[in-house]
Amino acid sequence: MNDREKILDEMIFDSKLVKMNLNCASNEDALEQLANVLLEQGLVKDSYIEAIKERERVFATGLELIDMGIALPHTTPDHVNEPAMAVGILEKPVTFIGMGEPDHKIDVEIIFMLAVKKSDAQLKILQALLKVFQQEGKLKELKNCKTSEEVALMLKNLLP
Amino acid sequence: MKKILLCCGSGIATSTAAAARLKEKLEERGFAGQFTTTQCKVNEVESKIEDYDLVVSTAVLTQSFSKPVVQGIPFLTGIGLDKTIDEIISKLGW
Repeated sequence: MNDREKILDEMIFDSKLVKMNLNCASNEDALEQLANVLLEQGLVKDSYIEAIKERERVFATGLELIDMGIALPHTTPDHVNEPAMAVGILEKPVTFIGMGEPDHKIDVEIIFMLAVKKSDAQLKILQALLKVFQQEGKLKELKNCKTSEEVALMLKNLLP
Repeated sequence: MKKILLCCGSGIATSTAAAARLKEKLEERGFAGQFTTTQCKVNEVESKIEDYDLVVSTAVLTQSFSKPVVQGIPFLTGIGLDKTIDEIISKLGW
């Protein structure tokens, strides 16, 4: 493997896929808005939106990290055209159910929505995100970005 | 040799991420070579559990099983991870 290959080079991710100050009434609303960003760019199929909401109902993806709550919604590859990630920074936190913890309600402030074609790519991006954002202060730094360009650049620099 | 089964929704992503952390942590505690890890989907646990000593789950398991089950979210968040490792070591009878 080429060790200079960065994980975000293997998927489509740029400032157009970053939504700042996302104003959401609920977690489903947040999922819809962010999935629409991927849909508008032609990266996912129409079916992706329903699929991602359904997957979240069955296997919730909220995680309480040291800085704040995040969600990592994803679904199966058949709804995806091109591997991509969309990031939503929420204006106000919305409640997600904790992954593996149905009684744990998590105030999510940032959503990393994955659209992957291969399971090993899904694993790599998941591991990379968790490794970086387990470090105290990193999610706060990301949240303090003023523009979508800043968020995209910071993620490209942070992720291996 | 202890056999640890890890499960998540797809049996691919979060369970594999958790398995990598678990391996690293158990090796740090001196258990290298004394355990194996396998990943599966949550709905496969019931049919596989007999062959394993312990289950680590990052998804919701609604049934109860004859083998110990440990909640695996700390392997993803890093929060409370040492406690979870202690729990696994004790439930494996090490």
